[in-house]
Amino acid sequence: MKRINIIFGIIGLVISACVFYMLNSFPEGQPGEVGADFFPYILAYGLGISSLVLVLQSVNRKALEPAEPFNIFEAGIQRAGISLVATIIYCLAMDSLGFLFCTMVYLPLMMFLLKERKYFKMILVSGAITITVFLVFSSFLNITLPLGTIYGY
Amino acid sequence: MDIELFIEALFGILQWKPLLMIFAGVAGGILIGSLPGLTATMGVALLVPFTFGLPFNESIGMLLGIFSGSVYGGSISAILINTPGTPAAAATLLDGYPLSQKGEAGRALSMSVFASFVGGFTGALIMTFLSPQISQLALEFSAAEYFGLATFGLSIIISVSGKSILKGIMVGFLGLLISTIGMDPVSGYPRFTFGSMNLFEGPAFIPTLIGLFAFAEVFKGVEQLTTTKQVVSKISSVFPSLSDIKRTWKDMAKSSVMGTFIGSIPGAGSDIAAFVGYSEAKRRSKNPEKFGTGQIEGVAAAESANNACSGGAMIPMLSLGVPGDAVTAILLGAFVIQGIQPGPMLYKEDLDVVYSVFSAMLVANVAMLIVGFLGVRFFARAITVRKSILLPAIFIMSIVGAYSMRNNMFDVWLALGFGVLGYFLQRYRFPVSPILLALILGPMAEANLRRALIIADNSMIDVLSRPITAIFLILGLVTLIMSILRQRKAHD
Repeated sequence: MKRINIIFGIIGLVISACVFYMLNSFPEGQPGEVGADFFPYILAYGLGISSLVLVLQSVNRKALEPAEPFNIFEAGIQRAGISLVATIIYCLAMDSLGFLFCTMVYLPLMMFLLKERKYFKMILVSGAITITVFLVFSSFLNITLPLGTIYGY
Repeated sequence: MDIELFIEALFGILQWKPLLMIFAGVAGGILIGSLPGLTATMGVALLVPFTFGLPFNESIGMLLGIFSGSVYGGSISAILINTPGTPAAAATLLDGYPLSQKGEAGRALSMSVFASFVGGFTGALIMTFLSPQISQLALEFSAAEYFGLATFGLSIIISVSGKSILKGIMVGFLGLLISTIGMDPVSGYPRFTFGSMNLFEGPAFIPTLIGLFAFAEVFKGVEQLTTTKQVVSKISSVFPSLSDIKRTWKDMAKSSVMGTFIGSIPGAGSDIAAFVGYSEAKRRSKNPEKFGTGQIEGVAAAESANNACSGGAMIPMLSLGVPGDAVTAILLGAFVIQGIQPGPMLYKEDLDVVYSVFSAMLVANVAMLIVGFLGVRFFARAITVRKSILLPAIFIMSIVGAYSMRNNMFDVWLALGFGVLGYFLQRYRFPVSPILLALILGPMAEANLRRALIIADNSMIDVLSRPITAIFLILGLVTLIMSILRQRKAHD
């Protein structure tokens, strides 16, 4: 956990430095008023100081409980990574290919990734979820889901 | 209290459409709450988008139905498979699962429904009578006091979230910085928007919470793919016996009142309430040594306390506009989407709305009792749904939920981004709730501080030295210091 805390502390410091840099371009407040940069300044100081304390505390501490290792070759991490990439592709494709088509492809693939091997059940459940979600949102809640620009919608 | 207006609001809720929504919300809430690994927070986050397009009474009914149902739902898997569906049900399994092992799962489940109803209804009643008094007090508050209150709310929530206060503080500041994205509340200057119109009003609340609580959880679920145990116990009876009710009514009554008051303290969640209720029942029992081996009093006390917490947590949310926990923070966001700004002015200007909320909460608890009794066998079967089917469905619900807020793919990307952030934060034991609460309390703190400074001619001392503001700030500071000291003691 020591190394992880130091990494998170450094990320916090970097974010706080970036905020300070961006605040330079903020306009001054009206005379007699604090400006738009007032609150973010306080918060950037707060984030910076707490991040620095986390780094120093972690460096000085000898023993900290071990962190869960993040090994990209581990099956679980790979599965989570693939599901993220699949979701990104699904979202990218949804506008042009439409919700119905994309979801009918995405769901069985995700189920396969999660070790489901009953193919008939996968197709049946995917169809049921896709149609139910589409009908509930479009008919019942009046929220139109993307129909697909390639079909002219 | 205006009884006539209250009865009118109650009749408004008792129409068939709001009732249908309450029952649908309760059923959805119980289902999600009962699934191990899906928290009540996640359940409410996932189901909130379903309420966007609905009229007020139906929307509020469904939201409060989800809220009440999800807390009770956690007990089903706790009793049947020794895995609490929500953290609030952790105390329930101590005696619930042993009862199940003895072949008395039906007895434990029926008592759990009944105790949840008693707790939830008591909490809702106390909320109905107590929150107007608090809002009366809060009407005297000016901008400076609101700044103090928001800061106090943040400090108390950070101090009880997670094992490390420092990590809580760090995440709290990060959340507050995120809350400053968008137009400045006073000058209208766009801050940290990188020229994107989508960020002018700040990161949209619902996609952010879907990311932090739904996407992050499913990524974790995908990583730690485990199979759910099969239910072995047979559920014989679905109604509690009179002798069990007689045996437990005192524990239920005490736990309900205690749970409501614990719930009303910002940051003290239903898991804490459940354990306090359980410990109290054990302390006053003639056979405390038998607790943990299948005592029906243990189930009754834990369940009535954690459900009473729901009503308690609604008290600061409704009367002060300060959410008591992550779930009420989501509810507050959903209320705002419906055009309702919780806080003392709500009691002054829209009393009918307040009474509709009270009525919906009371009816939701009755609905929970009915759905709980009738549907317990179905929910018991539902908890064994394979993760390989469930998780992809949650992915879709999360994506569609984030999209439906503004019919905008930007919100889906936002949710995914927060999902990745939430996943890593949770993985390395950084609490996530402070971000959500900062998104609610941050703008409240900033806008009121800026307004107070304008009134006080930019004199920070004048603002901070107002008596109530000073009390809130000192209380916040004391809470943080006490938590740090407690943590140090625990380390030593």
